[in-house]
Amino acid sequence: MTELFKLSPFELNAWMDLLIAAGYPVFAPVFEEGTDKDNLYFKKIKKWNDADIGKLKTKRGPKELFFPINEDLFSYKYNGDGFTLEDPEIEYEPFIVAGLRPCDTAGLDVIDKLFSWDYKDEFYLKKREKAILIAFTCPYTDSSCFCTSVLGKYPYKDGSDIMLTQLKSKDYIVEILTEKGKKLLSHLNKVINPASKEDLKELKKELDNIDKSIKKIKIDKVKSWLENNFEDDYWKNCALECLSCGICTFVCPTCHCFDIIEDRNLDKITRRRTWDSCSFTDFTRMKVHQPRQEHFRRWRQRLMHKYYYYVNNFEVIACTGCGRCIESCPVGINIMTMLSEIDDKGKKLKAKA
Amino acid sequence: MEQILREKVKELLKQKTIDLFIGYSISDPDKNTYKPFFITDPRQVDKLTYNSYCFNNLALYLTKDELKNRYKKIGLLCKGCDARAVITLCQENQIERDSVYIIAVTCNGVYRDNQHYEKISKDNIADKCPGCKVTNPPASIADEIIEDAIKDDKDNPVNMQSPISVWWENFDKLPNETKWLYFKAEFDKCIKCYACRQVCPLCYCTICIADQNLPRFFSKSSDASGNAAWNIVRAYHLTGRCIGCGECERVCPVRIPLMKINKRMSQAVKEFFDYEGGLDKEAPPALVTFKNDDDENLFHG
Repeated sequence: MTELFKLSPFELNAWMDLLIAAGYPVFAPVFEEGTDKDNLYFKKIKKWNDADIGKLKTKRGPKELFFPINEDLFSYKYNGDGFTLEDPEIEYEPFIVAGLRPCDTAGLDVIDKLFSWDYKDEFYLKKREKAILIAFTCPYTDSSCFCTSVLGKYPYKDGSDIMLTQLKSKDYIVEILTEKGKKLLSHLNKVINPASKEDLKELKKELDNIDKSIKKIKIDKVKSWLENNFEDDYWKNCALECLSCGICTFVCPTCHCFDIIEDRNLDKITRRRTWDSCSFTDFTRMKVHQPRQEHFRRWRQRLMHKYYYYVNNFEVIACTGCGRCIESCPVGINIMTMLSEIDDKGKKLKAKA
Repeated sequence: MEQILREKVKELLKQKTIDLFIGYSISDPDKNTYKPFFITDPRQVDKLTYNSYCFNNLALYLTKDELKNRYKKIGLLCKGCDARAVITLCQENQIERDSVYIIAVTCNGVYRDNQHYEKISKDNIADKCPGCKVTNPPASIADEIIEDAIKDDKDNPVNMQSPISVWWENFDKLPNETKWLYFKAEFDKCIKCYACRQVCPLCYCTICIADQNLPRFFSKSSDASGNAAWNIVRAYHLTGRCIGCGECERVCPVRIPLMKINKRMSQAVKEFFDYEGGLDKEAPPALVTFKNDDDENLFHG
């Protein structure tokens, strides 16, 4: 379903405030305070004015709203002659995430596949089911964006319930994409103008402009090269600058590796999951062996997982082209350059065959 | 300066004096970012650049096994910070001085971010830079020196008083409880990505205490107690060693003001032992040296 309406910035503001008043927790990009003041994070807001949707990207994606950095699974206590188990108290209630970009919602769609695979992850899926996602198309793009190369023509709509695009006139075109989204619109107690033909023309122009401004790289041969070149010398020479920190995976909207650990607080022990990263030296380390001791093996795992294993399992690339890893890398490693290199190799291979 | 550097590196690589040179190249022209650049082929020297946007401390690569095993002699571009790191690594027997070839360059201070600036000034210089003693790296550590004249006057931002010291002058007057609450709130933000450790030229332990799990010293999850433990352990481990390059603070994705901690610890070591890390290759490091007249007040707090 798609229904298109037009809202003025004033009406948008009123609508969001009405949603907050109706009791929906609303999460939106907000600037952090203190030393971290340049970074945006998804946080619960009290009024729509607090949200900042003018800046392109949040520092980390929205995944932490569904898959937090630390999540308690259960806890246990010794009570003298045995253990008492306790479930964490979580109330799952509908909530709204507003101010997402198409690459953010695409990231959630990627993680969905894994958490609803052979094991249905209750913690993640229940939150996901209750969430209503309001995406805003990008106000501008920058040199680390390459979403269209991965997700296809701009914008990626599948993940959102509602998508808003601001036109040159400052008015918003609201696309209602799901039933969930439609329900939200009913909170605005007034007649809303459907978008006119002129508006739709404007909308198309706006979206085409964004599409044009995004860098395009070719990645269609990447998978086939990765498939056949696990032992290639390329790996030993790539990304020598990499420091094995976890920034790229922590800011990534699709990275979802976690470790399960136990934290003890006096007599109560909590089992929780916590984000892990394939670039850490102790990633997948076992009692007797670390199969990815050398740095290049972990780096290879990162690319293989995103552009080959995940595609094999779920038919979707575990990358949304948001470019956060490029922006945050302490040593300026650019995944776009690497993908282009690999794609070239793939092409040459095909030409030979 | 860039041109002289390129010529020298070309020469060194051609003559096989070095097998690898680590310098800087542009990363993203649109965002004005620069990155470490590894060069083995003399034909690539034209990509080498050096300016005040070259933030990375390159000395950290000297202790990486992947590079040590592969290249016999590594050439390194050293600004003051990098040179201090190399000196400390030599003091701590982590590298053989003969296995590196050091080209020392003058540094006028680096910018605080990647915006386009014309010239370094007190408004755009990184907080770590004012008060720097190594704008020209110590000659004793260099194999080659490419010098640039530095204006030795008060207007030169590197000669200003360090803003971090100024901050501490006021902050130190607060009660301990308030100070602790400030840093606790900062540590709470930590997401344990360990970029601070990985980017630090002096964090070279093969297995970090944070990665040990038999036994685990502190939690892997980024909860409050584990975060504070990690950041405090790291601060202690760097006390008297930190050379103030500020890389940890620069790369921190949640902007924990790590340099405030490191600078204060260095200041304490200076007060008690009259020692600063990474200035003299022959000096015995403060915290591994015992002297009969060491100041006992250190233990009384």
